[in-house]
Amino acid sequence: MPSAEIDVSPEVMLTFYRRLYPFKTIFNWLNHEHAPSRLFTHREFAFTLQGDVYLRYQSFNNADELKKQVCQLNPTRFEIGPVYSARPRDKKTIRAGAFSPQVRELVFDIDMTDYDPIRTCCKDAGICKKCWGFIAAAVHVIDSAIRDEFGYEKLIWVYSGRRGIHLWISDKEAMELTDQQRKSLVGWLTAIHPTAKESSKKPNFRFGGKLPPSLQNALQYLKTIFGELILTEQDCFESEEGYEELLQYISDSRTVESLRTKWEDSPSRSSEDKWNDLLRIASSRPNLIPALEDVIIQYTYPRLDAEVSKHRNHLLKAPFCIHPKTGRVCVPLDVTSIDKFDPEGVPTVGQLLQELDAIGREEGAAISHSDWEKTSLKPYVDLLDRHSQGLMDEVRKEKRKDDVSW
Amino acid sequence: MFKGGHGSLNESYVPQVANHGVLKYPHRMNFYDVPPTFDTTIEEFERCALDRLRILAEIESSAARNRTWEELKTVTRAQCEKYLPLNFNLVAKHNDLDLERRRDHLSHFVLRLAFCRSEDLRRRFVKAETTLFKVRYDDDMGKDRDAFLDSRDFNWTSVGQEEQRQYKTELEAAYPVSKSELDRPSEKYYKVKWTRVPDLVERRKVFLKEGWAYVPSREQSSIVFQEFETHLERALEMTARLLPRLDEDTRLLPILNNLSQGFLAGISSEWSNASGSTNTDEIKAEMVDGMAKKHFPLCMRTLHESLQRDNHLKHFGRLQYGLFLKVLGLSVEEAVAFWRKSFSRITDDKFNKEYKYNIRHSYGLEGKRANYPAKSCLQILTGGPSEYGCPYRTFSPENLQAALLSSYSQQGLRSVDLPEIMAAVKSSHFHVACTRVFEITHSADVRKGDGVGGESVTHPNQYAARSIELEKAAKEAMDVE
Ligand SMILES: [Zn+2]
Repeated sequence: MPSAEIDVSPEVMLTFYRRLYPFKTIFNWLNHEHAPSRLFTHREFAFTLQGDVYLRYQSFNNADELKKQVCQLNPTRFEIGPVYSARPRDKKTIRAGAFSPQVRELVFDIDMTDYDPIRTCCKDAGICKKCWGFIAAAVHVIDSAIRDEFGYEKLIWVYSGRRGIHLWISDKEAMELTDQQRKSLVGWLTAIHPTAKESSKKPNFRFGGKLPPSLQNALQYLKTIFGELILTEQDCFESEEGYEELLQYISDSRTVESLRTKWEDSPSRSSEDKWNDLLRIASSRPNLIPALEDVIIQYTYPRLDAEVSKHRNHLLKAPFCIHPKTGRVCVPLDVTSIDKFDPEGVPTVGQLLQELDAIGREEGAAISHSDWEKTSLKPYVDLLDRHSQGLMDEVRKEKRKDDVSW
Repeated sequence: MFKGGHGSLNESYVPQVANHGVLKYPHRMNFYDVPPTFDTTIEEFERCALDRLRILAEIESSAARNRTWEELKTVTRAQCEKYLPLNFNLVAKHNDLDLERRRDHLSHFVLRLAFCRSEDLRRRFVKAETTLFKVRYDDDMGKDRDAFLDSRDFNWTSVGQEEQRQYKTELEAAYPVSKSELDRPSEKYYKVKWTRVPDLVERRKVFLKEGWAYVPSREQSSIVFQEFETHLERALEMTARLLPRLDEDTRLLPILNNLSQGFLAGISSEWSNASGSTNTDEIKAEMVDGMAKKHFPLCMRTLHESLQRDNHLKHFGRLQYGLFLKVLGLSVEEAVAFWRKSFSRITDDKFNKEYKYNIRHSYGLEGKRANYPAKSCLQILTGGPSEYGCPYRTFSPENLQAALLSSYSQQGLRSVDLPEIMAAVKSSHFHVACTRVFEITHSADVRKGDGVGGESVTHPNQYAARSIELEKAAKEAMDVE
């Protein structure tokens, strides 16, 4: 019953928060140790209540307090902000200068809407397994750039519940980045400006004709997925509009003319055929190659929502919240199987409650604190728990080091 | 570190020996890591700071006027030459070098105190100081610069031969060399945390590996500038936190307030900028008293009278009145004469030591046209101690009425005029009250509503200049008749 699956009524949400939402897991992940620290107690939570009332600057002493408040307010979703210099809930009583964001996970948001100009399979809010390919490509590029170039290791990717994905980076150094530094890092990872309407401007990410090393790394990977994603699945150059877009990248007007004539005359040529036409020409005219590389980057390089990443005080939806339009849980994802991920395979809140019901009938209705263990939510919670364990190990190591130096 | 006998002994034993070892400041430039610990006079404290302020103000206005980097450099160099010269090691005698560098050191730290107070001031100060640093860094010579950089630990690691070979392709792609550079011996690289070169990262103009940025020596300045900027930002925030204790020193507070206001007003106080000194006739020291009675607004009348009565004015009053007189048209020589005569109870020695230089200084040294504007009404209304504020605001109603009558009854102000003036005061329209007094006391030439040449009073000098202008015009008209 699909309609039951996207039931996100207050009653459903309340049961979800009471019985399934893994508050302890979220606490460990944000707090990096068992005893509550400033990372949790000075952290802003913001609630979106039924009727779109927005409640900011909430903060809690521990996971139980958070759960209590969530169950009481029963928000449609809640968001996580930075760790402030004081407890956010005391904000009103604190001198303005003494309340400022201190640390915060470095976060990224990739959303399908930024790919609307190039994707051909879906539109607007729609998403399917085909266009997930864009997101998967972005995840690969960002993930390896963050690890190899910036040296951060504590990354967790979280499905946004509909048509995007979030990345949270919890390395100590990453959490301490200033807004200015975040802006610089985003600059490094931005090659495509979604606002600049593609065709009018050719991309310019080369220095002296050469691609900077970071883009070369990305290109090595993007080349491997370009064929399937852009040529086969999206078939981007099939339509006249599509191939005209492609021809914009070729600066030699005679080449453009001859290709245009050829493609006009045989409208059945697929995107792959057209790309092969170009490759054939390039094999004898190597100066065409940079243009083709630019095309690959332009069509597959990650498109970031830069504003989300630049400011420490930007709020981002908490993992395991329910997307109000789809009813799907915002689940953490394993980056190694990101290519196989199917958004439609993610459990919805309705489905999870049905699973609970089924167990209830089998075992008698003993409601336990971690009912998620018995549902299909389990692998996702386990994933975040394992990630948090890594963060906690790190903190323990640091503490031991301090002990030694004493 | 400048206290005690040791240093001075050294100085007298080895004067001006060509050995950099004896320089207290071996480098022309300074990272300002260590605050000055030597003794200084309150006058030197202020003087140095004002000198630096002129340079920074010019840098700020360069941005406002959209000057190019080269233009900015030329202008800044000229300002530095004039107010805070910093010579190269080989150029000047050691005593002079140390003195210059000491002033540079002191002035930077005084301005930190003045500008740490608000986020806006901090941001502007950091920007201007970093620009000044860049200009000087650009001018520094190769060897001096290397020695200067060596004096501080930047935490950069040289990239070894092997590592450089390992990333050869990446480094070459990140830093493309032109053909002419190819035969140059291979470039040296330094490794720093990527956060140290955010500008290079943002433009993707660097090679990054596991959080380390590989910076070629030609981009080394990026690290240096960034370091200077971040260090200063942090230091200012720290100072801001410690400042409340300093505020207890009542001698410093007015100076610091005045400095930060000077920066805020910049050289752009509209009125004084537009006119400088409007009065072309020379004003002699002995004329001031007479002019005060005829032409000064109440705030300056009040300062003038308390100076005549007490033969003294406190620092802030001196500054305020002194700048007003300067813009009025009193030359520096006449100003010295005026203040010497007014401070009749102190000795020549004390006057010369404690006041003379300051007066000359407020003239921007050697008669240079006003770089420090006289205070505008807005500044008088909002800043500084209330005893030197706007009388329309600070006086009690009774005192204000008494002061108005005693100051202006000779020019035609009568007690029947007072209710109208007091009504404006009561509704906090102080400039309206002042403008009305101007109209009443110049009723021969000005009708109600005419104001000061068509506008309200916004500046004491505007008030006085218009009054003098009207008197002159009336005289000329009579001469013609
Ligand atoms: Zn699709």
